[in-house]
Amino acid sequence: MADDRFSAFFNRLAAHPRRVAGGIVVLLLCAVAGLFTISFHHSMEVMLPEGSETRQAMGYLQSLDFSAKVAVSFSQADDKIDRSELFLAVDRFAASLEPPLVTQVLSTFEEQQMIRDVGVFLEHAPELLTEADLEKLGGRITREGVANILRKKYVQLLKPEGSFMAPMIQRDPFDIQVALIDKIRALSSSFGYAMRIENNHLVSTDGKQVLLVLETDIPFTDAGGSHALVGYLREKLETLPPSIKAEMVCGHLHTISNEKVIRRDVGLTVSIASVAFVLLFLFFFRDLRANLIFLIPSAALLLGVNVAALVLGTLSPMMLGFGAVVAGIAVDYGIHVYVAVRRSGSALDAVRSVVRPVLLGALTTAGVFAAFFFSSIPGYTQLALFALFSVLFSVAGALFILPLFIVPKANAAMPTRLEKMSPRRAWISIAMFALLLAAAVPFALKARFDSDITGLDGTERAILETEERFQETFGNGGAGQAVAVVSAPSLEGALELNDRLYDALVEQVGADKVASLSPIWKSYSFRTANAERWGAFWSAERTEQLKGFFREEGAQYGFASDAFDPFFETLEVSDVREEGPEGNLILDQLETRFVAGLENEVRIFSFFPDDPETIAAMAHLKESLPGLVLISRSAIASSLAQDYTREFTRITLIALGLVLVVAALLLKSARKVLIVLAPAFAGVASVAVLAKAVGTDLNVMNLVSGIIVIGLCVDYGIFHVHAYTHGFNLGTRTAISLSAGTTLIGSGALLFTLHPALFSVGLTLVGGISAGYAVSMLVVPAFCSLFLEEQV
Amino acid sequence: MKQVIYGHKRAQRPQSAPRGNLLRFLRSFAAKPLCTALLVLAAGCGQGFASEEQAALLEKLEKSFSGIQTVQARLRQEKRLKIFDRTIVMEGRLTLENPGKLAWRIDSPIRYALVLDGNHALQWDEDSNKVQKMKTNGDPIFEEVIGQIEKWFSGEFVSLLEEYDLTVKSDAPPVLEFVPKPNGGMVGKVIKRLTISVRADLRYVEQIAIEDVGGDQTIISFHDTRLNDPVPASEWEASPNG
Repeated sequence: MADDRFSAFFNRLAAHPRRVAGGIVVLLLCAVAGLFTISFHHSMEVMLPEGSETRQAMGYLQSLDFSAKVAVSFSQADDKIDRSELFLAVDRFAASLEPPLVTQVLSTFEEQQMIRDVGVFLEHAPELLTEADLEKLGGRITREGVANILRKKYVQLLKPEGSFMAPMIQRDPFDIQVALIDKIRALSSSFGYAMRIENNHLVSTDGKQVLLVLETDIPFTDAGGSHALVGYLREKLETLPPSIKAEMVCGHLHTISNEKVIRRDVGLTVSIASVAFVLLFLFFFRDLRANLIFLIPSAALLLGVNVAALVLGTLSPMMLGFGAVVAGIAVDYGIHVYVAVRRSGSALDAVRSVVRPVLLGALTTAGVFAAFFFSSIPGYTQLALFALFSVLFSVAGALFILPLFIVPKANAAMPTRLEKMSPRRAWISIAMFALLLAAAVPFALKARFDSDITGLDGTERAILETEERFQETFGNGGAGQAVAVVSAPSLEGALELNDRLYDALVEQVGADKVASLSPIWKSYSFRTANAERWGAFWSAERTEQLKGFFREEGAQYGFASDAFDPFFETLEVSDVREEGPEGNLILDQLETRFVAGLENEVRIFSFFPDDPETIAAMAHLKESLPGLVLISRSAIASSLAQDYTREFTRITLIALGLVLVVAALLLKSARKVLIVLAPAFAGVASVAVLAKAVGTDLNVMNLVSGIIVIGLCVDYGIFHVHAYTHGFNLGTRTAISLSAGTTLIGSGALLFTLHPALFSVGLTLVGGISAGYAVSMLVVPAFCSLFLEEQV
Repeated sequence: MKQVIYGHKRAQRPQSAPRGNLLRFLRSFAAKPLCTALLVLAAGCGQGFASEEQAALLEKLEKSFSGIQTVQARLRQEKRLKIFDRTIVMEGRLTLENPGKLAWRIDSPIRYALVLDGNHALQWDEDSNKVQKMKTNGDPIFEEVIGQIEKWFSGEFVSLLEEYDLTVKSDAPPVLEFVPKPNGGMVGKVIKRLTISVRADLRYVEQIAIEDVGGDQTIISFHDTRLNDPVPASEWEASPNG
C-alpha cells in the first residue's frame, strides 16, 4: 500500500520534471535571499553548558575582561623623532577620534586633579573607618602611644622632606589618612598592570611605549561593528608619522581574525573538495548529471540553515563549520540512489530497492543528531536542528528529485547478489577486527580531554603575539586571581553586600590578601554607621585627654602647643551623602576595576589568592551572602572538563540508544543490529588511537564529530546488511565506497585548515570514517556470511 | 567627542579597562616622601629667559662651577616651621660627586643619612636603624628631581629658569632669588621662594633658603667646603658608620 503511494507520488513528479526543477530553483533563490537576513553571533559562550556553574562563572569573568575597550600602544620605530614628538602624535591621534565608533579616550591626566581626588577620600576617612579600626586607634591614645607618635613625627620633620610634610602631620598625626592612601596603593598592585605617568601620559615602566585606552559601544561579538571599528582605527593610525609604531589590542581583532581564518579555510576546503570531486567525475562517473548528487546536499544545507535560523533567531558561525560535515553525510543518500538507478533498468525500481536502507540510514543519522537536543550546550542544539533539517531535505531530494534527472543504464555484468565470504576468510577478518579493537582499548582509556575552549579560537598568530607583547610590557591584569562576585539590583545594595563580603574575607584570609573596593568606598549604610561611631568615639573627655598628651609629650621636641589643632578641627564629621564624590577619577578608576553595571543588576568583584584551600574555606560564605559567586579560574578548567564529560556521556548514550532503537525496529533482529554497529565501534576506537598518535587531547569538537562518526559508520553497516539479507546488489559496495570517499574528501580537506576547531573535526572524521569504512567492507561481510541468512 | 583628562565617564559603568595607571602614580605620590625631599633639594630647573645682565652673571657662575667634580662640605640647617615653637638647628655634611652621586648626612639633633647613587636612593635613621633602599631609575619623579639636583649643584642655574622667575638680589657676592612661575608645575605648589647665595669667590654655593607656600622656612648653609678632593668610598654607604 505504502509502495503504491510512493510509486504514484514518484510518477507524478517524473511526469513534470521541468516544473519540479523550476519550483526547486525558486525555493533555492528564496533561501539564498534568506541567508542575508540571518543574524550570526560570534561567541565561545555557545559551547558552554546552559545553566552550569562554569557558564555562570565565565559570564562573570567576561564582564571583567576587555569587552568594549581598545588598547593602543605607541612606540618610536627609530630615532628620527624625539619623545615630545611621540607624545604630540599620540595626542593628535586621540583628538582625531570621534563618536559613534569611539566614545571616549583615556589618554592624559593632570597630577593636580589626582591630588585633589585623593584629598576627597581623605575627607571621607571617618566614614570609612570600621569599628575594628577605631578600636586600634583607641589603643594608641595613651601617654606612651602619643609619645611614640611624636618622636616618629619629629624624626620625619627633620628629614629633608619634613618641611613639606608638616601640614600633613598637623592634620593627621595618627596616619589615619596615610593608611587610607596605603589602601588605595595596595589596590593598585592588585590591578596587575605596570604603568607610570610621563608628561601626563600613561607609559610602560621602561618608558618605551605610550598607552591609549579607547572606549567603544561596539561589543566584540558584533562582527560588522568590529570591522567598522578596526577599519576606522587603522585608517587613523595610518596618518601617524612613519617613525611611530602603533599596536592595537582588543577582542574585536579576534572576531575579525576568526572570520578571516574561517573564510580562508572554507575557500581552501571548497577548492580542495571541488578538485577531488571533479577528478571523481572524470575518472569514475563519467556523467555530468552526477553533479546533482552533490548539488542536493548543498541545496539541503541552504534550506536547513534558513529553517534553523527561523526557529532559533541567531546562529553561531562555528556551527556552520559543520555544514561540510553534514553535507558529507547527506551526500551518501544521493550516491546510493544514483548508483542504483544507473545500474537498473528503471528509476522507480531502483529507488524502491534502496529506499529502505536510505531511510534507515537517514533515521539513524537523525537519531544521532537528535541526541544533541538532550545537551545543555546551546551550540549543540543549533547543530542538531540545522543537521536534522539538512538530512531531511537531502533524503527527500535524493529519493524524489535526483532520480528524475538521471538516465537508467542497466548493467548486466553486475552480480545480483553480494558475494558470500568463505568461513575461513570470514573468521580471519573477525579475529583481526577483535584484536585491533582490543589493542585500541588502552588508548581509548588513556584519552584525555582538553576543556580549554579558548584553544578553539582561530585568531591569527600575529594578533596573539601582539597581545603577548602587551602583557609583557603592561602586565596581565592579575589574571591568576580568584574572584568573588556579589550582585544586587542597585549599586547601594551591591555595595552593602560587598562590605559584608569584605569583612568575611578579611576574617578568612587577612586584609593583605584581599583586593576589594570596600576599604576605599563603602555603602551609604556602612558609611553612616561608621560616621556615627566616629562621632561617639571622639567624646569631649577623650579629646581633652589627647590634647593634654600632645602638649605634655610634645614639649621635649619643641612642638607648638597648637601644633595639632588642624587635627582636632577634622574630628567633626560633615553629613554623610549617599552618592559618591562626583567626578572623582580615582573612584571612577576603582569602579572600572571592581564594579560592572549591567542592565538590571550591579556586580561588584573582589579578588583573592586562587588556591583550593582559600576557596574551600570561603565556600560557607554563600550561605550568609545571597547570590555570592566564588570563581576559581584554575578550577574552571577542571569544572569544564567535568561538564563536557557529563554532556558527552549523555549524548553518546542517547545517540546509541536512538540508533539501536531505530535499527532494531527496522532490522527486526538483534544479530543484525550488532553487526551494523561494528563499523561504529571501529570508528570511535580509531579516533582515540589517532588522537594519541598525533599527541593531542580530545576537545569538544572531537567529541561532537566523534558522534557523527558513529552515525555514518552505522549507515555503512546498514547498507551492507540490507543488501546482503535482501539478496540484491545494485552496486552496494560501490555506493558505500563512494559515500566514504566523498565524506573523506570533505573532511580530509579540513586537515588543511588553520582554524583549530575545523582541523579537529577533520582529524576525527578522517580517522573514524576510514576505520568504519574498512570494517564495513571487510568485517561486516564476514559477520554477514557467518551469522546471517541470505534472502533468496 | 569628549577627550577626558585622565578619566572616565561615570554614567556608563564600563566593564573593564587596563587598570592601575593612576594608582601607579598614587604609589609615587603617597609612599615616597623622599620625592618631596628631593624636590626640596632640587627646586626645579629648565631653560628660560633672563636679562642680559642676569645672563652674563649666570654664565660666569656656570663657568666657575664647571670644574667641580667633587664637593665635601659641612652644613647647618635651620628649620623654622610653624609646627614647632622654636627653630630647629641641624648639623651635618653634604658630599657630592659628578655625575649623579649625592650624600646628605645629619649628625644632630638626630642621626640621619640619605645617599643617591644614580640608580638607587638609600635612607637610614637612628630610630629605625634600618637602611631603606629604593630604585630611582625608571621612576620619572626621581629621575627628574635627581637630574635637577645635579644641575643645581653644578651651578647650571640657567636651567632653573623654565620653572622659576629670577631676581638677582646682589651681584657681589651673587644672591639669586628664584620664584616659581604661576604655572610652574609641582614645584610651584610646594615652594614659594628659593634663594641661592654664592660665595664671594664664586667657587660654590654658600647658602640656600627655601620658603614653602605655607610660610615655613628652611635655610641650609655650607662651610668648610672642599672641592675636587677624593671622596672615600664609605661616604656612599647609608649606615650608622657612614
